[in-house]
Amino acid sequence: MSGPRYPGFTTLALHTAAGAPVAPPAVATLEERIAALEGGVAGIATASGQAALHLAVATLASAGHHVVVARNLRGDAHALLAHGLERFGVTTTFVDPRDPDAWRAAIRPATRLLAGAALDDACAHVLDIPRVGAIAHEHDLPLLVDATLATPWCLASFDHGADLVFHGAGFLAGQACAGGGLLVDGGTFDWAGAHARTGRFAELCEPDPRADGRVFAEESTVGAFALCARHAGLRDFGATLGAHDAAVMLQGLETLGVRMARHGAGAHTVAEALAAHPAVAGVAYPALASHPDHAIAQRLLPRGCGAVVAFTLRGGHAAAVRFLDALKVFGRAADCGGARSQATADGAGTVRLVVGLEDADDLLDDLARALKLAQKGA
Amino acid sequence: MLIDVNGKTAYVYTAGTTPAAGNSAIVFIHGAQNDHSVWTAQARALARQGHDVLAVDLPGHGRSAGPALATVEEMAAWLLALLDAAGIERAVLAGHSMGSLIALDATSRAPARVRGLALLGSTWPMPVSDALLETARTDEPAAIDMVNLWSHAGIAPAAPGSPQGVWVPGASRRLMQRLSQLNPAQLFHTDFVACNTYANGGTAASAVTCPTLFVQGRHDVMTPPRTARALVAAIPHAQVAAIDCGHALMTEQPDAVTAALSDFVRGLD
Repeated sequence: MSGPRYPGFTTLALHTAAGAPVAPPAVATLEERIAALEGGVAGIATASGQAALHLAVATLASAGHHVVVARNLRGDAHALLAHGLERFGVTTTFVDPRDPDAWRAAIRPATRLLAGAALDDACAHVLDIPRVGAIAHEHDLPLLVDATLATPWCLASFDHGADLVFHGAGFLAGQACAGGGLLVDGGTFDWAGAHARTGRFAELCEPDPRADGRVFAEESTVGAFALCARHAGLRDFGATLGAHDAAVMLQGLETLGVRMARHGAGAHTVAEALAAHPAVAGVAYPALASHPDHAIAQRLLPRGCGAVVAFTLRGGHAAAVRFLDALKVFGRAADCGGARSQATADGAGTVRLVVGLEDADDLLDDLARALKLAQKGA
Repeated sequence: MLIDVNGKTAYVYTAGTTPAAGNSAIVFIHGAQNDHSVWTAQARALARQGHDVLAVDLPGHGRSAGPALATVEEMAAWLLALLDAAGIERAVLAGHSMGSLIALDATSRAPARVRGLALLGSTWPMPVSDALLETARTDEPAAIDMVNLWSHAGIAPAAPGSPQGVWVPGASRRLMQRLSQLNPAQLFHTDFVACNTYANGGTAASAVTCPTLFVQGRHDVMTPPRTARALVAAIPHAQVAAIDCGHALMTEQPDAVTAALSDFVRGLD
C-alpha cells in the first residue's frame, strides 16, 4: 500500500505556521518551524546559540551534576562548560569524540547529558551520532548535538539518535551578523522511564516548584523537556529572542535548503582543489575520502558536509598569514553563515574557510592566486 | 496518579487535582495508539475551572499496565471499574475517536453514572480499511506515518501551535512511536480491530439520555463528519460543534476544543 507522504524540507520551511489569517508572532512561528525542519516536537528560540546550550544544560543539570562533552564543541561553548558552569557546581568531562570507551568511562551516576558538535570549526570530526547516541541511551542519558554547522538541511539529527539539538543563528538566518539561537526537543527520549530506572531528571518528572508544581513529563509524554526548558529554564534565565531577530531567522529558513546546497557544493569543490594543490600540506573536509570520518559523513550527511573547509599550508603559520593577506574575494571575518566567503587562521597555521555563495570559479582563482603568493614569500 | 484497576496498575493524569467522591469530575479517554497527553490542554483548563479531571491511559497504553484490551466493550467495562477504584460516582465522559466509542458504550452500561457525554472525532460504525489494518499488523511505523498525515488538516499547520513552539504533527507522530516502544505487542492493530469490530454503537446511542455533545473536525478524513450523521441522528438531543481542523482536534485546535467542552460542562449545571 502506498501511503501518504510528508512534505519536503523547503515546503515545510516555507509553510509551517505561515498561513494564519493574522500575521502570527515571529518567535512562535520560528520555534515551530525549526521543530518541523528537524523532525522534532518543539523548538525554543534563545538569544544566542550559547544561550540555547546553556538552557539545555541548565534544564537537566544542577549543582553536583555532570555532563560529558566531545572536545569538538566551539571555543565559547567549551569555556562555558569548562569554567562558567563549573562555578555553579556543574562539572564537565571532555572526551575524544571518536573514542567510545572514553565516552563510556566518563559517564557516572551524576551525569545528566552527553553532548558534541555534529561538525566542528576545525572540520576535524563528524560526530558519530548513532554510536554516541547508543552509548547515551545504554546509560539512560540523552544526547545533545550542536548542529550549527550542519543545519537541519544536511543532517537529520533525530533520525540518527540525537535527542536534543541546538543551533546558532548564522546559517539558518543566512546572515553572518544575525543574532539568536534555537533549541529543539526531538521527543525521542523517555524521561519518565529513565527517571523510574535511575532517579535522574526529577526536574521533568516530579512537581516543579518553579512552575506551580506542574509535572512536565506527565503533561507531555514526548515534549516534557521543551515544556520544562520554556516554563522553568527560559523564565529563570531570560535569554529570550526578540521578534526582529526571529523574523530575520524565519526569512533565512525559507532559503536554507538552496543555500546549503550551494555552500556544500562550493566547499566540496574548494576542498578538492586544495587537496590537489602542491602548496597545501593537508585538507580536512568530511566529503573527501581522506577525512577520518568520511564513512560517517556519507551516512549522516548525504546532502553535503556544510560550508567549512580547514587546511594547512606548507610553510606553516607564516605562509598562512601571507595567504590570508593575498586573498581578494574571501573576507577575513570569523563569523559563519553569511553569503560571502571568509577565511581565518589559528595560531598553529590552520586556515579555516567558510565557503559562501560566490561563483566557484572566482573562489578557486582567489585561492590559487593567494596560495601562489604565500609560497613566493617563503 | 497510579490506581489499581482489576489488579493491574493504571495511570490517570489529574492536572494537579485530587479526584474525590462528590466533586464534579470529567474523564478523558484517548483514541488508538495515543495516551492521556493528547488531552493535556483541555484537562489543565477544566482543572483551572474547578473540576476534578481524570485523563486515563488505557491498558497497554503509556503508563498503564498491559495487555491492551481487545474490544470496546472490555475497555468500557475497564473504564467503569476505574471510576469505582477512584471512588467517582458520576462523571462527564469525554472520548476521542476510539475513546468516543468507549465513552458511548460505558454510558449505555451505566447511564446513571454519566452526567454528560462528549464525543470528539466520532463516528459509528468506525470501519478501518483492510489495507490500514494490514499495514498496522505488518509495518507499524508506516501505519503511524499514514495515520499521522491523515489526522491533521495540514502537516505544516496554518497557525503556530499551542503550547508555544510545539509542531503538532511532529509531536503526534513521536507520541505514537513512543506508544509502540512502550508496548511492542501490535498495539495499533489491536486498537484498530477494536474500532472496526465494535457492533453495539447503534444500540448504545439510541439509549443515551444524558446531555451529549459531538465535536467534529470539518476537515477530518479519519472520522469524516458526513459519516457520523447516523450516529448523531441516533441521539436527537445532542449538540454538534464543528471546528476547523482534522481528526487530532484536541492538539490541532486546543483552545476551540477547550471552549466547546467548557461550555458543555457549564451547561450541565
